[in-house]
Amino acid sequence: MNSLSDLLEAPYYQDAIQATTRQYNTGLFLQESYSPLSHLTVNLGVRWEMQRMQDYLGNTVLSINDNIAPRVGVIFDPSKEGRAKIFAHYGRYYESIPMNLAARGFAGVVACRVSGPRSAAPVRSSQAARC
Amino acid sequence: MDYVANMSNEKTRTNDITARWTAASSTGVGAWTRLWACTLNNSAIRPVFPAAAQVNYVEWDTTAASLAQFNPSVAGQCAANLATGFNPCAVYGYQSGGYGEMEDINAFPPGGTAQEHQHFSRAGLHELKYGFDGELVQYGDKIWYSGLDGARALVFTTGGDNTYYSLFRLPPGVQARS
Repeated sequence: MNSLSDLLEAPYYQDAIQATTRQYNTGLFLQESYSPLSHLTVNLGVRWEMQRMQDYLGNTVLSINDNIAPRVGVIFDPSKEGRAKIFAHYGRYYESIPMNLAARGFAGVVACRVSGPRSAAPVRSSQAARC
Repeated sequence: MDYVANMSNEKTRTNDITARWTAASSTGVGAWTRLWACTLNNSAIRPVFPAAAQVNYVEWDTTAASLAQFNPSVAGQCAANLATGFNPCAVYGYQSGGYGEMEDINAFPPGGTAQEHQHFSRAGLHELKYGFDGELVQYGDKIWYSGLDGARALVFTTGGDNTYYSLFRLPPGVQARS
């Protein structure tokens, strides 16, 4: 929960925004490749993937722990001599969240807009309260 | 000096250094295999002309206007063709000034995998593989706008007004509001 002082404090102008964000990606996997016949192979597998993201202050801002990714595949060799194969595969895949998105979203950055007559100078730190 | 934005074209430098290491604790059935990998990546977005980083980027947001409004030197070439009504200098937007947004990215994602294979026969051949993998992605990002210190901004001009977009940082714990 935000403190009262945080809520009252205005964003402050920065010439440049520097932020380092971190993401921990971990996974457990299990795969079984079963060949009941010399020309037939069935692949079964599953991955359990987890993502945890930290903002530029080191606070955990996003935690995903339920990415279950099953995989099923069948390979059949009609020639029975290793000269051909018919295969099918199904899998669910999860893409990790792009870090550039994290750096923009969890770095406390806002692009402030200040409008004024064309003669006005660009916003300066002293005008932060108008942001 | 005024740099036309499109002439200070984007220049991106990207460097990658990759290291991999694989080791097996033993050979044969039940061997654990470990793989560690790391790629250092950094890239930078800069203007070709360094001086363009010292000037605010300006976008003239307007409906159809004449190029002569922005570059008076071409006014003589912008007369509309009376027969066809064709205006050779109609523009819907115009960019001038400095480079705009610049960025430095440094990514360091060390990671590794450890897995074990098991082979056995039971109503056919089985190959069982299991293990875990992990990756820690550290992503350093620095962004800034062209202009002078204390007044770095993107400038959008419409009608008689300027709108300045500058970078601000929120105090810790404060969420951005739209």
